[in-house]
Amino acid sequence: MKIVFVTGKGGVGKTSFSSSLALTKASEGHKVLLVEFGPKPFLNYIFSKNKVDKKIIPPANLEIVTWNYEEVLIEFIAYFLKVKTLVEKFFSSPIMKKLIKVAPSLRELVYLGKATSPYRNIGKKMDYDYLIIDSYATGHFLSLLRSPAGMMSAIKKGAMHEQCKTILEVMKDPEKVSYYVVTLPEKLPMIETKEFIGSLQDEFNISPQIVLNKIKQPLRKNGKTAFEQEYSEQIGHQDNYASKMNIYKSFPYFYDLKLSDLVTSMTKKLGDNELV
Amino acid sequence: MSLFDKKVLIALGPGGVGKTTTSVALALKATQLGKNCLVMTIDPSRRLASVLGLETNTNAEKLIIDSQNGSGQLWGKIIEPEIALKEFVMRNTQKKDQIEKLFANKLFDQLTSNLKDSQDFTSIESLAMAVNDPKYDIIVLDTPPIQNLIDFFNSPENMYNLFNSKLINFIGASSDSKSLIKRFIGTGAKGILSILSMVTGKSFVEELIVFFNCLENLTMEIKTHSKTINDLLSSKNTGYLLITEPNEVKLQEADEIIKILQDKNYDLRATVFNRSHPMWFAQDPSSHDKIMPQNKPFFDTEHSYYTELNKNLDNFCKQINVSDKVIKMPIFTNINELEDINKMTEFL
Repeated sequence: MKIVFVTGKGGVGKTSFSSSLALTKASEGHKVLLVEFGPKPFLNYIFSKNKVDKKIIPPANLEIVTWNYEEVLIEFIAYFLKVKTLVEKFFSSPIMKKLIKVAPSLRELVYLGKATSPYRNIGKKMDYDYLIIDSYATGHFLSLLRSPAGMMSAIKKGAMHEQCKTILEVMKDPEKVSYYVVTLPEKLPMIETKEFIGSLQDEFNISPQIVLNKIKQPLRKNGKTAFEQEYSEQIGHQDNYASKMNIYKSFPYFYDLKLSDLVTSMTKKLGDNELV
Repeated sequence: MSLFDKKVLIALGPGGVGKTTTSVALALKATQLGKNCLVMTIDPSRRLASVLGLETNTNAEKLIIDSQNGSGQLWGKIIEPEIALKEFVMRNTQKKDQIEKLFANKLFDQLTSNLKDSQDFTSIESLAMAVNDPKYDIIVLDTPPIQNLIDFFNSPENMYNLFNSKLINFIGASSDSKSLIKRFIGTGAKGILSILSMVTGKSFVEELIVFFNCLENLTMEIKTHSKTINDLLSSKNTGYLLITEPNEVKLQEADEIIKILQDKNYDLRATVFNRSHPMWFAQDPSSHDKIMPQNKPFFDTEHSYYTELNKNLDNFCKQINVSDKVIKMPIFTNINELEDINKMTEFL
């Protein structure tokens, strides 16, 4: 079992890559769970269980789920309490409702707790070969990763402290969890990716894989028209950026308007080689 | 009517569409029209902060460009939720000893550093503070990426509710956490707290009770404040700007935002579609004949892609039926300096 987190700046193609990776792993015969964090679902732009539009019908060994904070929390508490009436009492209390809404960093901890639960032997059994998580954008992703250590320093002992400790252990173990950062071959995204990876390494000793997306092919010949000038300027230094980093996988610019078509193109490109 | 006849412009939109850059361009445009403008943003990339010459960790406003040749001043501010939240508490209570206790509480620490919750609130709160400053003719607020617009608009209310929490009334105020727990056990809250204690451990519950106890003792006068904020958001002097991109997902998100604004009767002044097309796409097509034959396939691919994209965009604009101004922003690559952002202003 392997847990995979996909992150990156907004709009770089996190969801497309997560979906393509999930489809690829499923096509290799693995049992895959593709996860997104709620409340708003995005994977429904790509996948559908029924034949609609041009959406992709996931194969039987690929399950897709949106984790909602409150639902996951209820599941977690229920696992500990075992008694159904107690759980109902707990969540029907107005005090509890208010608490859940404002309790600091509880949302982040609940998501990480669920993601790492197979390795911590708690919670509902998750019987998958791959758990692929289409996660938060870079800034929010850092605060997600920081939440267990933050809570540990606030609460020095007890169940909460212990839970956070094991979550962090799993998150830092490269045998159990791998990380992908999706980025673009442009100056600003590249600089930001570098800074982000620096933080991951310094704070957590995590080395992510870099996925470079939306690479345009250079023109065959130099030309003087507005199109040729602008096109060449746009892709100007992209090779430069790519060569400076250890890129795990590159994808061309797919001229697909529909997200589901884009994922199909990307999955084709991803093929079945040297993954995870 | 111009975009700039409002005192406050609030930039909304999904994440990753260039909201902050567009907000700065908007502020620049306002200064070109002779107005003194403050642009406020939260959690920008460090890179963008340095483009603006702004430092993080101060929560202070800074003059970026002084007025010259009839243009106005450009001011900038990076909202620091941690500092802004503390300032909010200090402004609204007289009980200095309680403030210290609250700030020392470890869960308050977690609350302030928890991005999403405090970002929405401190954005609106900072706007409410700045709007009273006569220095500015226009204030542009770049909002954090919106996951839930309703939550964003309700964030002041939610935060006031937290600070006015009656949770501690169940047990009566006391500063001693151990006796608090005991008293908790003796009330209706008993079951809940002992369950929570089972799951999270006793020290978490203790810290939580201290946290709410501190809040309770602050007794803040913020009920009237809540109304002030709502008045500001719905004021005639406040306009909204929707920033998005013309792709499938972002259009859908834009649609949801527009519906909420219409529902609340908030004034959507313009919708900006970033990265709508390359520059050449909107220029004289006669030069297309002179493209090298080897490069023609590249052109054809891009041309048909952007034609289709803009057809979808036009359909969308018709569908949502907004008579409001639609701005199709071309693609700008490599925005590195304030000068580059300046290029965007001619499209606004």
